[in-house]
Amino acid sequence: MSAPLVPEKLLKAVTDDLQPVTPLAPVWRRTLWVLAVSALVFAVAVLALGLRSDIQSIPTWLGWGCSAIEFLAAALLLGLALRESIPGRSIPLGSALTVLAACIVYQLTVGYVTWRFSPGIPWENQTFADGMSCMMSDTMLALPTLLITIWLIVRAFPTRAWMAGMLGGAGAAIASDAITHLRCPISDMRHVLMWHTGAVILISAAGALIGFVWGRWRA
Amino acid sequence: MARKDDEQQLVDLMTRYQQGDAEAFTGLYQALKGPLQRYLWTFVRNTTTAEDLAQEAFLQIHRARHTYASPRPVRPWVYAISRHVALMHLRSRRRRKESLAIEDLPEVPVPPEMDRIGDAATVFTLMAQLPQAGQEVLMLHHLLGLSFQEVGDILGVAPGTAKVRAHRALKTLREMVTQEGGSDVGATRS
Repeated sequence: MSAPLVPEKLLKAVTDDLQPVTPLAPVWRRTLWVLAVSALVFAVAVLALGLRSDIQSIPTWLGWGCSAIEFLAAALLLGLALRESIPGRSIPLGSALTVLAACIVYQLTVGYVTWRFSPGIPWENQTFADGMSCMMSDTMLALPTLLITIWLIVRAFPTRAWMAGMLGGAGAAIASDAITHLRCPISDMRHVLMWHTGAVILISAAGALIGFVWGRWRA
Repeated sequence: MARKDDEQQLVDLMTRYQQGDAEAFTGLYQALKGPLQRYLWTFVRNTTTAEDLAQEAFLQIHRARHTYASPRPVRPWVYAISRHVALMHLRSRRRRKESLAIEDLPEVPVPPEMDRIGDAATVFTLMAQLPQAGQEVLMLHHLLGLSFQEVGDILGVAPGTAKVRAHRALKTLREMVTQEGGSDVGATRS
C-alpha cells in the first residue's frame, strides 16, 4: 500500500508557515513563572497593606505556616491548569474537583482553627461593606496571577479551555487567600465561608467562563 | 518493540517538524493519517467527513506544534487535538449523525481479543451502536494500540476509568453479537 500524499492545499498552508518554533517550557517551569508573580503580589500585599491586627495572638505555624501550605496548594492547582492546557495531558475532572474541594476544606479548617485562637471582629459588628471589601481585596490580589495564568493557557492549546481556566482561577484565588489569611482580621466562619470561600468559587467560575468564551471564540 | 521504534520515529519526525522541516511534516502525515482518520470515523461514521476532519486536524496540529514536548509520546498529543476538532465539528453540526454504508468502513486490523467476537465488518457495524464513550476507548486502545494511560490523557479520565469503559464496551459488543445471532453475523462475514 502506497503512503498517502499530503493534499496540496494542506501542504501549502503548512509550508507557507513553517518557521521553526520553540517548544513550550515544561509545566513545572511555567508554574514557577506564575508562582514568581504570585509571590511578588504576596510580598507587596504584606509589606504595603500590612498584617491583621491580632497576628500576635496567632501561632506562627497557624499564621505563616498555614499560609505557606495554602500557597503550595495554589501551586498545585496552577500546575494542573497549565498541564490541562497541553493536548494529550488532560486531567480527570474528578481529580481536579477533588483537589479544588480539598483546598476549600483546608481554607475552612484553617479559618476555624484561627477563630479558636483569635476570633477577631465579631460577626455582629460586621457590615455588608466589610464583607464586600474582603471579597474585592481577594479578587484584586488574585488578578495578576489569574491574568498571567490565562495568558499561558491561551499560548498553549487547551482542548478543554473552560477546565484549564477553572483550575487557573482556583489556583489564583487560593494564592490570594493565602495572603488574606494573614491580613483579614475576621475569623468568624460565616464571614470566611460567605466572603472568602465565595471569592474562591467566584474567581474559579470567572476563570472557567474566560476559558469557555475563549474556547468558543477560537473554534 | 516495533511499537517503541514507531513511537521513536514519530518523536524524531515531530522534533524535526518543530525545527521547520517540511519533509518531517510529510512523514508525520503519512504515518498518522490512516489511524487518525479511523479514530475520527468513530465520531462521524462517514469516511469522507472523517477525511475532511483529518485535514482540519493536521492544520490544528500545525498551529499547536509548539505545544508538543519531546520526548513525550506523539500519538496521545495528536489524538487529543483530533478529538477536539471532531467535537467542534459535531457541535457545529448539532450532532448530526450520518449513516455508514458497509463500504464506508475504514480498514482497521482487528486485534485478537476482538477478532474472537467477529470479523472486522461485524465488529465495526456493531461498534457503531455502542455509546460514543465506549466506541472511543475501543478504537483508541484495542484498534489503535494506545495504552490506558494514554487513552486517559486524551479523554481526560483516569486510566482506570478508561479500562472500565473498554471492558464494558467489549462486554456489550459480545452481547450484541450473541443477540444478533449466527445468521446475521454470518451474512455480514460473507
